Amino acid sequence: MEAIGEQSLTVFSAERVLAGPDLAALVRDYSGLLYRVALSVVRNTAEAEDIVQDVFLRVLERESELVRVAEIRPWLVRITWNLAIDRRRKVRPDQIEDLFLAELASREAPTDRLFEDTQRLRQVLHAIERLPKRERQALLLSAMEELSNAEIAAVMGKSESGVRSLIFRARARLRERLPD
Amino acid sequence: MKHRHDDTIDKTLSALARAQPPQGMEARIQQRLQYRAVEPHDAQRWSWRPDRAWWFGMLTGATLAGLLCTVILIETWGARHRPAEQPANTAAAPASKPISKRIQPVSSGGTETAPCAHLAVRRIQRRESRAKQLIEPQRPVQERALTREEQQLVRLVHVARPAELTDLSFEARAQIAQQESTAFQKFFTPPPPPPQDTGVTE
Repeated sequence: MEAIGEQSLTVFSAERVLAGPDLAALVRDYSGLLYRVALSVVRNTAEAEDIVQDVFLRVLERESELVRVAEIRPWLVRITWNLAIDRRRKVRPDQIEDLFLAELASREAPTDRLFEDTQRLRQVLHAIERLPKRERQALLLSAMEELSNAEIAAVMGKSESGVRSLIFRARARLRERLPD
Repeated sequence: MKHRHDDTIDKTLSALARAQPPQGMEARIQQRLQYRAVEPHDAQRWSWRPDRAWWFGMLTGATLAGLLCTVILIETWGARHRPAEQPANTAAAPASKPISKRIQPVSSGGTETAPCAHLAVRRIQRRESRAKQLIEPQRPVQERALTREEQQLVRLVHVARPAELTDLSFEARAQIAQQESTAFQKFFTPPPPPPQDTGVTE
């Protein structure tokens, strides 16, 4: 695989690949955000990375259309979300959730509280999973700090107020469903 | 007023938002993009590739399985709807009563007949032909191997030598046997006694 990559690198100049709307810059600027969006859906790091790669491959295939895209970030997030949903249907989230939760919890909690935090995350994520589709999408996208409500609205094809309403309803539903 | 669960929800969402991509992800994406850009898409789209072999294999297998199922179904259907050829030993099976009497005949001309009337007629005809086959002896009679005598007879007929053909006649055989018997008796008949001495002494 490496040999193929090296060969392609020597044969082909990177200038041609990254010509036009500067695909390399897109990867540099948005891969983190797209990774988090994908991860919030599939909850598996390898799958999330694979999805991000697929997103940029699609962008490469539609390179000519890039100039017509007015808002690149919502466009990329929408592609990522749709691919992640497709991928989510193929993987079984129950099998991967433990690893994902442990990884999430370990970032912010000390070791002695790891189990407790993992359980708490599991409850919230399960509750998020049971939310209606649009509410779940609005809530998860609102967690991404890079995305404004206007951009979330652009991703979802809704108005800003509609997005705010969805987020409000999602949180209210979560409060009801989470155990005391 | 902040709900007691809001903190939990916020922490979970912030944990999701702070997730860091794996190290080297950007480089891997760039490399894959470069590789894809070099790859001649259209030329390789339908060509054989190891990672697509399963796809072609699955498609081919499914096609073959479908064909096989179709052939089996057609054969099964044909075997059911073809007049069956009964073996000879079932010829003596009793035909209880005429089938056409058990099945109500379908009127030929009326519009009030059932929509599948012709099928019923065909079914009756088929059953009757089967019943006939059960009753009638099987033709042609199966050939068996010739006995030794029959084989000799056939050979004689083909050769057609008069001396051998004569042997086939009972009269000629009886005559030959008579002659042989006479010769045998003649051979074993005791010789006539020698002439009696008259008593002349020297």
